Amino acid sequence: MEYEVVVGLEVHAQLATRTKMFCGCPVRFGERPNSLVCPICLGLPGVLPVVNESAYHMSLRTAVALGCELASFTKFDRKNYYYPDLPKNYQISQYDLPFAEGGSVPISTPGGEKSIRLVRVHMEEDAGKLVHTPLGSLVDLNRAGTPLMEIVSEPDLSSPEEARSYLEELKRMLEYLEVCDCNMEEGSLRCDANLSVRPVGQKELGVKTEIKNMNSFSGVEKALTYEAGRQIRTLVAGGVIEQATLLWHEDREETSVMRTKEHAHDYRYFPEPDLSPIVLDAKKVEQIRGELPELPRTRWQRFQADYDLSEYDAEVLIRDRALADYFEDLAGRVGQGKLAANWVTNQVSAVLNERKIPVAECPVSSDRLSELLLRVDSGDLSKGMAGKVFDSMLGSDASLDQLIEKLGGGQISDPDTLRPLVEEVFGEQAKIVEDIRGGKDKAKNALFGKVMGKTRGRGNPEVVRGLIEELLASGS
Amino acid sequence: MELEVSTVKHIAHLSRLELSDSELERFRGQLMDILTFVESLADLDLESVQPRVHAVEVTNQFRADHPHEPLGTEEVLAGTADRQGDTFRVPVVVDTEDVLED
Repeated sequence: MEYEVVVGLEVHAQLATRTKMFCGCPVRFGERPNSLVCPICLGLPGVLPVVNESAYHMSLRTAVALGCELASFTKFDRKNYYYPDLPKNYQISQYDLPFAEGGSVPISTPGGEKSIRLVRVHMEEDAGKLVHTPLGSLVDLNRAGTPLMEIVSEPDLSSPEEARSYLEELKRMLEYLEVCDCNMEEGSLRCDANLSVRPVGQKELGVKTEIKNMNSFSGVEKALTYEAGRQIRTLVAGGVIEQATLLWHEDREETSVMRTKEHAHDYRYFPEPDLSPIVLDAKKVEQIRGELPELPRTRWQRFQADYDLSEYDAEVLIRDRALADYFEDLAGRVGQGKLAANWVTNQVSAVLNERKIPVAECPVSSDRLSELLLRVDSGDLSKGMAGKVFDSMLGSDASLDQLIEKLGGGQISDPDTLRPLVEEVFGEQAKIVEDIRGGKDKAKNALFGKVMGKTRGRGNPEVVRGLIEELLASGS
Repeated sequence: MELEVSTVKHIAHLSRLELSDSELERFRGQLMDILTFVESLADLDLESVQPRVHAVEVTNQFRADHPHEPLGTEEVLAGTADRQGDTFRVPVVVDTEDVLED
């Protein structure tokens, strides 16, 4: 029997605010433990949390971009559970009235574009960090109260690969929207998955398991592949799938069962009495809608259409909004999208990757690179020479002409400059010329090599070949 | 309102409380009293009253995203009974080592 995989993802995105969701403690990673904590995020008696306006606006911005339906009235709720990562013994979250429902994320699949529907988006606070040791669990509450957005998809994903595409698309969107820095290593983008399998053709869903602790996109793909395999093998062997929450272990590449999992009703949600509800401000929504940037997928499609780029090249360029901006500026200046794309995806990206620097710190600005590419486009510089000039640009602010001069000059494309050199070679290599005229066509390469030698490699190959043909035809 | 001992046990477990049989019985009585008191709301005619989520009418209270000065690690940990370095130390609460067998 053939099985198909059904996956839904819950993504927690840390909002890129300066302070926490309900208090003014700074949000920073890697600080001294328990140094970013105050009575509010400690849950001391008598404190009053207040919603961070930026966090709310970033959430709205995201929901508008995802095409969600915004609730005209929304509120926060207490999710009660006893675990030392939250000192209040409850997490402030949203339960029955999330601020946004519906919406979708478009992804590319081998079968074409697919729209992954969303269930909801809600706001909540993050918990603190626990480190388990044999002598006890160590609690750092710096992260407690950090603003999060939880984005829940419908079980529309049909493979681990689709799950990864969805995450990549969502990450790019959040980055373009500037609402999350999406650093998975620092935990600012986290993902849990629900996975089940069912015989192909069966309507009802199989029993699902929830998988947590996947810390990278490749980790998600691996964990889901592992779990799908485990479920299918279990069913094929006549076993049953038990509903459970599983932890993924990246190092061992396997999952383990988390011992207990409380049911939703055990959380005893109730409206957070310390926070006032929020009524949607339609004007604010219109303002946010008007200020939305071009989203990555739209940009990807436009790059293919406007600059005649392949799907792959366009994707490499749009992955990073700053890189896409760099490319567009360059392409505009050079007037040659394809040429600009080649340089950005090759030379420029290589430098950024090698030095692990963001586009903003690229030693060669798009303006400066455009000067170089204009010379390539006009034929004044060979590709090889342009590469050398680019390398020297990385370490020097000298003008383009100075750099070219220093490297031995640009490409010679002027036929009047090249013709005497070709004639010289014809004179010196009478034997080869005779061979060619006698039908030994291949010998043309030898002539070409001699001429290029005289130009020290700077002759424009096309012009040189043209001149050789010209002289052969003229019979001189 | 009647309450089973098992329900009281479950609620105690959710709060990570271990109760003796006599305590279970005592709290069962107290919880039933509370529930019975709340149940008296059912006597009111609330047909025309809209459900609401908050006791006051205030909405849309926000604060600007400006940082304040946190307490500082030493002050945060000053009252704890068990500390390790800059962290609170609590009994180990999760065991994740049972590998799922195929």
